[in-house]
Amino acid sequence: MIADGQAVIVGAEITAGHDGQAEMVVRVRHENGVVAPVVLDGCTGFRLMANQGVGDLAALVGRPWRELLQQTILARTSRDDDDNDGLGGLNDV
Amino acid sequence: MYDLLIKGGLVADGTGAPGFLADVAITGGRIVSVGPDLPGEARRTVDATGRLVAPGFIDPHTHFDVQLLWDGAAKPALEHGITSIVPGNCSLSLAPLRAGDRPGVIGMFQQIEEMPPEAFTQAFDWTWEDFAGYRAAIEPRLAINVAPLVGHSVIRQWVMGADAQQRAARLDEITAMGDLLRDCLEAGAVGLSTSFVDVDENGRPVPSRFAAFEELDGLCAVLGEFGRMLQIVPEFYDVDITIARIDQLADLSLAHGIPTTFSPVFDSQATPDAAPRALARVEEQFARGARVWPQVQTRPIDISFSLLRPSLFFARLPRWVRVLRLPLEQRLAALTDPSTVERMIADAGPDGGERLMGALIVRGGDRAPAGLAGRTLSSIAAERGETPVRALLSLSLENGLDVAFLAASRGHDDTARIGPMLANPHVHIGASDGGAHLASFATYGDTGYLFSEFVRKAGALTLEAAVKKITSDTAEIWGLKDRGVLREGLAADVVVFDAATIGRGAERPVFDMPGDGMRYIRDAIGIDTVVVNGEIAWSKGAYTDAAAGTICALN
Amino acid sequence: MDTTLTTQRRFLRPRIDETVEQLAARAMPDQPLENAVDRIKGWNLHIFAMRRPAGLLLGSDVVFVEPPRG
Repeated sequence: MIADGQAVIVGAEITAGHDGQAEMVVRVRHENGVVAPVVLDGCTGFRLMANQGVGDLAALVGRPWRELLQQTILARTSRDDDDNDGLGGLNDV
Repeated sequence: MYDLLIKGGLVADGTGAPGFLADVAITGGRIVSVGPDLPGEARRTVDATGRLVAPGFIDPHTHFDVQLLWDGAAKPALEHGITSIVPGNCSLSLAPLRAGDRPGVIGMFQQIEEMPPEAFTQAFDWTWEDFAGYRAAIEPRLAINVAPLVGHSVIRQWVMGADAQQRAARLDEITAMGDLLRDCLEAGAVGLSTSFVDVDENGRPVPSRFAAFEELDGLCAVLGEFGRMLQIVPEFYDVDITIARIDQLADLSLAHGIPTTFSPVFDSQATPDAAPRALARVEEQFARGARVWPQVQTRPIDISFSLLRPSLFFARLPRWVRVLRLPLEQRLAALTDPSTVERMIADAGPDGGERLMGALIVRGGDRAPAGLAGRTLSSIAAERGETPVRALLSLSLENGLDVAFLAASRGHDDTARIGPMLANPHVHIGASDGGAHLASFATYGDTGYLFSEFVRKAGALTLEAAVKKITSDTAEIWGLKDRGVLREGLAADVVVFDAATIGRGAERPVFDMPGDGMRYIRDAIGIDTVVVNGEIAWSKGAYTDAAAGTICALN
Repeated sequence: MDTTLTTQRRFLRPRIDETVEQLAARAMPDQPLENAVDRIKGWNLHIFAMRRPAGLLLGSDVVFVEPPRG
């Protein structure tokens, strides 16, 4: 259950980036009620999906944005390898 | 006697005025007369009957800095009717650059241009350090005109050394950068470029991004002494940041009396408010008297990928994401495991992946059989007796996964929305990135696409308005002194083309970079003749030996 | 000529050698620091998620100090 006033993901889709790579657009309803897009590059998008344990964009919808940032994207440090996104292993492929 | 007479064409003179039947007479590299049935003989005549005769097109956003050292025509830009280019964008130029700083700057160029290392070690001799020296190195072989920007990152590198990528500048360093910029402007630089986005080959921000606003302000004061251009690349993926940059540019434009430009502005169905909001802010700033020119490109954006690296193209297929994120050895094991493959194929849908993947195009330039380049996966699959999804997997596996696929027109692709943007008088048509992203996509043919898509197909601009946008408008915005209009006394840059067919060819790979490096290009369609400073540089499908290009004179 | 500028999303430029904590305190002096830092990070993924090294503040940065206005 998402509390009132908490930023939440209301949509996610793939778009084309300037360099020809696929990028992720996450639509966030912010604390002030405004819905605005956040564009994530490929690495960041994969990290977001992997650390949330989702393999499908649709599964991101409804998740609290700020918690997700804390747990995943913002937990990244400069030592992180771009490939180290928690998706390793052949399980369940 | 004229040197060259272009006879009987419909002249769109670059002003936007309705076309008129006329001859164009040229002597000594200059237009000497424009009018119907001009009397007099000419050493050479071009029959332009049934063709449009226009000023040469001007491309304001390129990265041909390196290529110009061995290819003075900036091929294939010239054959598309481009007679003047602006290299040195996005904070990077090849001068001023001390010998000891070359490796670092080469890394930055390789990040942007995707050129093989041989381009920097075998194709030319490094004979210069300062801007005048670079100019002297490229000038003798120029077949195209050049209005070079000087890069903020290299200016910083020259003054601050390794600290350029570490910290803000001290006041004395800002003064030294200003002095260096002044030298470059006196040597013919058309302005300064900076970037808030680009990174080097290690992913670290380029030097210009370490500059505080006070530094940029100091450099713009020097630009103001000459009235020259500031070009930036903003954080184009976020419209709020882009608007903040527009406001910065406006303040700098008003404070120092300079024109400014930023690129790119993209339209996207995923962020449909972004481009309109950015352009609305531009309108507000123009109303204040600022000059902030947004560059909008004509071509759509494609997504490309291979199975060598994971791509978010598959973000709606969880199993594909998981497999493609595996280390290469495990990924190959998964892609050859029958049960995994069957599940992946099932995930692609009951139509065998036709809807998701059928329209993908095999790009070529990799290990894919050459005959497949440019064909859709759907047609290849039919030929192989497979479904598209199985064809994608088997084709990739047969070629070590080194098969690139292209999903065409996945961004900036709504002609009904982009047409009015291009027609907006405050929008600068540009952002081609010619000479960059060589191994990712073709950056050529945007001018042809302007005519085929937005003039002929959509009617968003008249023929004459489209010509004006990429000729006199560009010359005026950048202060190019004697170009952009077909008028007596001005430089004789002329393109003769078939208005009914001008366009761009299909993207195709070629291996014409130093070290047999690959790049994607597009051929020109409908261009008959390209004249640069009175010399025919391209005619009927072939380049000539002419080398009449020059560094553009400035207002 | 209309020279009115519409209000846009508020941002700060980092001062020389300023840390995220210092900038957050400057932007939101009435907020608990930890909360202010969290908010700054969440509104500025271009700095704190997509940059290498993540969180490196640059002199040229635009740092938003409020959510999008829509």
